[in-house]
Amino acid sequence: MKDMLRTLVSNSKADYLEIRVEESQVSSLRFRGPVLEAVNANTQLGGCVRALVNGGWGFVTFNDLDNIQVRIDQAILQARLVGKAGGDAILAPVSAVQDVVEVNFREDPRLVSLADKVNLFRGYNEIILSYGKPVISSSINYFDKYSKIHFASSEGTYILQHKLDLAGGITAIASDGSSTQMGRAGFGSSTDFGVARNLEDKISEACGKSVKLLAAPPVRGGEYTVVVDHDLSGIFAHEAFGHLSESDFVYENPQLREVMKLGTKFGESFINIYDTGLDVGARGYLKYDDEGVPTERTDLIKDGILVGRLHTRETAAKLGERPTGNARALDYTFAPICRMRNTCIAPGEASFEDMLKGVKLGVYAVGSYGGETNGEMFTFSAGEAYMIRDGKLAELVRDVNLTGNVFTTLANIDMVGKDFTPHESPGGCGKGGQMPLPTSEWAPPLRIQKVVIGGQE
Amino acid sequence: MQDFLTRAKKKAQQVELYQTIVTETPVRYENNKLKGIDTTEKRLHALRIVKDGRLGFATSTAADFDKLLDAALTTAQFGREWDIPLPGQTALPQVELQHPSTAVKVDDMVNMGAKAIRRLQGCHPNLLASATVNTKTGTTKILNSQGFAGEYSKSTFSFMGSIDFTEGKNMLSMYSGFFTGKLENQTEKVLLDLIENFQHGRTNVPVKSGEYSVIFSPHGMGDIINPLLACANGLAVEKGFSPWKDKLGEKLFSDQFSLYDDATIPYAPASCLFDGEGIPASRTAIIEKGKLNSYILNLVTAKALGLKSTGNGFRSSAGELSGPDNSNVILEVANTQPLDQLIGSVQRGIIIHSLMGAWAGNPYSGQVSGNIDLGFLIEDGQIKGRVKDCMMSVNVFEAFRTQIEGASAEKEWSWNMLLPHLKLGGVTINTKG
Repeated sequence: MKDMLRTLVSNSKADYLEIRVEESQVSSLRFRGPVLEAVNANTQLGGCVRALVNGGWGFVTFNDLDNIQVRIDQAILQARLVGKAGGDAILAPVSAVQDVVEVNFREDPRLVSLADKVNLFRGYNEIILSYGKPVISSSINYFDKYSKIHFASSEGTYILQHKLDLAGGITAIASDGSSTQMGRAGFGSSTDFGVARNLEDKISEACGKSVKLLAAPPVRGGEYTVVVDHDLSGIFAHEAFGHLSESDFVYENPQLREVMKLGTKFGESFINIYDTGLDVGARGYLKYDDEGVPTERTDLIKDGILVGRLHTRETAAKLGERPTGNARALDYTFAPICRMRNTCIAPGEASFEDMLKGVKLGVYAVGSYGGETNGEMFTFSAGEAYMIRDGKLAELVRDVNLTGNVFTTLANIDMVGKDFTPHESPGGCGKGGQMPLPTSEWAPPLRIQKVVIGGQE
Repeated sequence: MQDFLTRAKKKAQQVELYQTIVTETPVRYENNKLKGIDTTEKRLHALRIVKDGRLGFATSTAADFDKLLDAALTTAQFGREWDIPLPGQTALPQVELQHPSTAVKVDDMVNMGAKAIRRLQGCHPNLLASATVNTKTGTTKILNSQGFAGEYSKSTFSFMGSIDFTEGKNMLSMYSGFFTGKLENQTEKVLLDLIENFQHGRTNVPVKSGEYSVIFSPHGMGDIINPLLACANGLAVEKGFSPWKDKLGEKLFSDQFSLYDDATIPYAPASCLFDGEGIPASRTAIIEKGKLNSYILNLVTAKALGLKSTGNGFRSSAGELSGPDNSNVILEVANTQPLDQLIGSVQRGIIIHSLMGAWAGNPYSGQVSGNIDLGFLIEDGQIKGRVKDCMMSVNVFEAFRTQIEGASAEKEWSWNMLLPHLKLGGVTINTKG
């Protein structure tokens, strides 16, 4: 494969040409209630060619590897058409790389038999199904994907990356006939099937949560002081600031570039946010991105000040900055675009007690159902929440969806917790039709003033 | 192919081979200029077998059927119990899926995109316009050991346009588009909507927390309908998650309101001849005049509930078995009025074109809340300007029972849903202060 790809990219008529070929195997299983609904084996082999000619991009994908030259010719033809229409794409220089990257396994899921996987999850399922009423059902999803990705570029880079992504979600479902509530436990890793083991306590906890939520009222909408746990805080980092740091939002928008000028103050001096590909084991771990650029730790906000952003080679070139290794593609059917890896808020000094202190009426929001952003405004949704009354945790409430505005909410963070627990979850990030991309979000609890929460009065 | 089925039949009691090839050519304009032209081709071969009463399933991008069979036999050792006969040969409905108008050449797509970008750019010199013009053709084929052999090809055209506008720390973004099997003048309507919404969105207006009449435009309504579709889904009913599990035939909503699933609409985005299991495409009334009439079912959920498949076994992704899912969704409200009158009837309310984050949360609770990504304040029937930093909250179970205040006579496709503008009363808005 290596020789074939190197020959193909070295003889092209494009200004720049890259080929990715991906071989992957996915094993997945799914319980719904007592039934093992699906045990699937999925094999994929496919590739793509991306060509740059006169500033225009052409991109072609295929499953049939027999005649890649035809695909290259087509990509170049398309790129030329775009170039002629005034394409102005340029690439920041990077050093050519030759490397083979293996997975640094703690436990290789491919060495765990399908029977053992089924038994492990069946055991978890039994915990939920034997919990008793009002827990009425369960939902368990698990997958592991092992892929080999060959990357060759006309600039002399050839990288073979072996990658693992595995994740699962375990949900207990309680119902009292008219209302249905859920409690969840999740896991994920890029090196270790072991994270799927020993989840019994978390699953019992999820059962308990689903039952308690049945009796909980929906939160009353309004503006609150909010304390978010490390899980929801991670989603906050991703939605509130991570996406806006992706330079494809900024690079061709002079007005936004003005607002997002490096050196601008976004929060108090104890706010530090970064995005990193270096955390081995995290789902957002990545040695090289899909342009063959080594990843790194990229500081985004340091001491409250905007100091960096996430780049592809093209956005870096256009902004005169350096590539950061954030060009990622979901798989061979997509071209790489600017994406996050593991987006983190660095720990601060506050204890949980410090955060509750002095809050007359607030909300402690726990766990995450996900979020969304349009650049300026964002939402993040909690699994459950407790009211804070006179500095103390009070009753449980449900259906808690929070919203903020990047230009005010970051500045409204008045405390950053000291408890920084790495945390991985199933799901992933969606952008430009590419979903779910494995990302991680590690963060400590936060206290944020003036957060609007949806809900009836 | 028949040879393979015969061979496989010696190792398994039932065999089904599902194959698709999809080719797409998106022409992408980003930030006012042509950015790239792509061609993607995806192949899938999926094999479902029943061996010793258990289901096995494997998929591959490669047409190596014997390898697929081995993989499926392995999974069948653990697969769910299965005693349902796959469908045999049957009459398929006539559904128009291909129209010559969607066969647009790449050069013409480039021109269409360029024209759209120029139109949008005309709104303001600092605005960034983007557009994707795409043609897609696909062929779906199912063969099974019970004698079903079906194949259909489908061609679609899609257009998506968007505007991004930044003024200081105020960002105004919007997108709109369509997906069709028959290209008429839908692009013009999308551009006019974007231009009109951009004009309305230039002014931000303050709004106070409280209860409002809210008009959801077709593009702003998906998250409001999703809990209903989640509750009607046969899997949620079978497993008992759905609060509608014992409510077939009950009147749950206002008798003004009906909801259909219909895979037989000519040239519609999700139309087909048969579903992912070979069951003929059909129209299903989910809610008829407020009454829960049917769930959305595939073979296995239908069997478990003692009902018949509604032909809604669709695959959510290449590696997945067919689960119950919607095709085209049609919402109908009695007593409609023209859209301008519907807006004119609002004394103080909000029209929502896009919600953000409203998909998150628990669909079975009926509680939906989301940030108003793009919405305008209406006073005395006039659009006054954009509302920002607001959360909209509504319990849709209650809303479709008691809060429907009207709907527009005009309907529009929002991806796979054909919807009117819908006016609901008593919707909660929360905001700063």
